[in-house]
Amino acid sequence: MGVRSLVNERETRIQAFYAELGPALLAYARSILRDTAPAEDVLQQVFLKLLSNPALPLPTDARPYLFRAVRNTSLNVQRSTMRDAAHREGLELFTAPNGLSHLVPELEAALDDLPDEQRQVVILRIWGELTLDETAEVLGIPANTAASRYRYALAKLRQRLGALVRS
Amino acid sequence: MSDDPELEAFLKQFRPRSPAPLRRLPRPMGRSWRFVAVAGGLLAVAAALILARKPDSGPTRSRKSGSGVPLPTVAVLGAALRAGQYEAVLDHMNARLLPNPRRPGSALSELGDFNRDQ
Repeated sequence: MGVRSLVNERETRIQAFYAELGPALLAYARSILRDTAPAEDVLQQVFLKLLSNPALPLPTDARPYLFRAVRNTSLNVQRSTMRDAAHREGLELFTAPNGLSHLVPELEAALDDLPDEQRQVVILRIWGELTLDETAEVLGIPANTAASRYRYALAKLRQRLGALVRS
Repeated sequence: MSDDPELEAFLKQFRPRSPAPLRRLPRPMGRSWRFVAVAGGLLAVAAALILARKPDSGPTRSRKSGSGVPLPTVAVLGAALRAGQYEAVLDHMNARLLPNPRRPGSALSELGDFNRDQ
């Protein structure tokens, strides 16, 4: 197999990761940065770095790796811009099936009101589809801590959205 | 194990929206073609500038003697040197290149007359 076909295969895999995980990664970056525009930039940065540097390893299970890369890049961006959480733009991050779209603002508000560390766990678990161990690995915390943060977050969301869930 | 399956199922109905399409990487080939195009453009501009210069200005002037006779090339002189006729060729060239002091009305002729009168 030639170098060119190896490069093409790698590029195809990266494009496939972007298509499959892009939405969850964007939601995760946004949960850290609280703003969609810089979150989009973070995603572009992470994937373009992967595409432009064939020497970077591409693990078979890239899910935790990509979430970790997005987390590190988002934290760097956050540190460099010192973005104020009050500067949130109005673009909705989530889409919903017919009949639920009117609940999107409610959901986003509920997520925004969670403490940062709990919001990140929820995004990683629900939309990133990571296991608790993978979530803990991405965040660099013990699995028990990740589990308790997830539990607290769900309890708060249940309290806030419970009536909507039941209806 | 799930903490709150009903809530989790509810949340999963919402999907995060897709990010913007991934920007394309500039290809190395693209870079080299751009380089070739820019280099070609610069060469064309340089050629146009050279061609646009007047014939009596710049480097073309140094290629001729003051009398307008083309200077012998290094190749001609080299060949003459190898053939043992260097002096003869130079003498022949001098007759064509140097001003003739005996030509009536020339500067050298006038100067010579002036010196004689003194």
